[in-house]
Amino acid sequence: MNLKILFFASLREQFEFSQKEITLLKEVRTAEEFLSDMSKQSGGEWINLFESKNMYKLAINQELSSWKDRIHEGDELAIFPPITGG
Amino acid sequence: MNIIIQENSFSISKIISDLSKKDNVGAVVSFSGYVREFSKERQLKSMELEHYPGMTEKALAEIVQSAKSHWDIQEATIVHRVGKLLPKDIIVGVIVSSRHRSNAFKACEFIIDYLKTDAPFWKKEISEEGETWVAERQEDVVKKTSWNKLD
Repeated sequence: MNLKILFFASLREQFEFSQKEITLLKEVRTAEEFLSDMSKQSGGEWINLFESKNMYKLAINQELSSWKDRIHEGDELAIFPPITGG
Repeated sequence: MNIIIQENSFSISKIISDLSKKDNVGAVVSFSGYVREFSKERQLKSMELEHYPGMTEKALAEIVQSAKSHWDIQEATIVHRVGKLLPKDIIVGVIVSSRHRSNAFKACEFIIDYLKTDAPFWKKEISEEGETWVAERQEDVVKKTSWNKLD
């Protein structure tokens, strides 16, 4: 399963990339399952992110979403800290 | 609707003047936000503003559409800066025109309240003590939630 992952602000700095195409070894149904899978597949920062995911926001294909929302092949997932514009 | 994300500064008075010249405009209300010199007693050297290109424009368009569904307004312009800003620099402008003042006042406040929590921008403050990502303000969340009674 292929997904485009984007990080912003503090997460971009922690992961040291702003966007990346990621191929998962198996299909996942939700954003939460994606994080769980990545923490097993890649470890490191992904484990911390999975464990503290409720501190962060998620957008699927540029729409604010929840971790329980469905994801599909080719989706764009952006993960970021709470918004502080204006 | 006019949504502009840019690095350069801008003139809020020019936008007010332009909107005031359009047909059937009896009121123009604007909000402008600036970089404060101090944050938590630390003197700011500069601020970095990051955003999510594509989603930012979509989120702001949805906020303006929502404002238009609640109040009879003519036009809304949002300008938000990104990149490096200095103390006293303008960050954001929200300018709304309508036939009568009440609709423009309410729509302008609604737009900036939603922009604060739903449009993907992030601020980083740079001071002598180091760099800090700005944390979400609970007051902003409460302020946005207070509009829920409209729906």
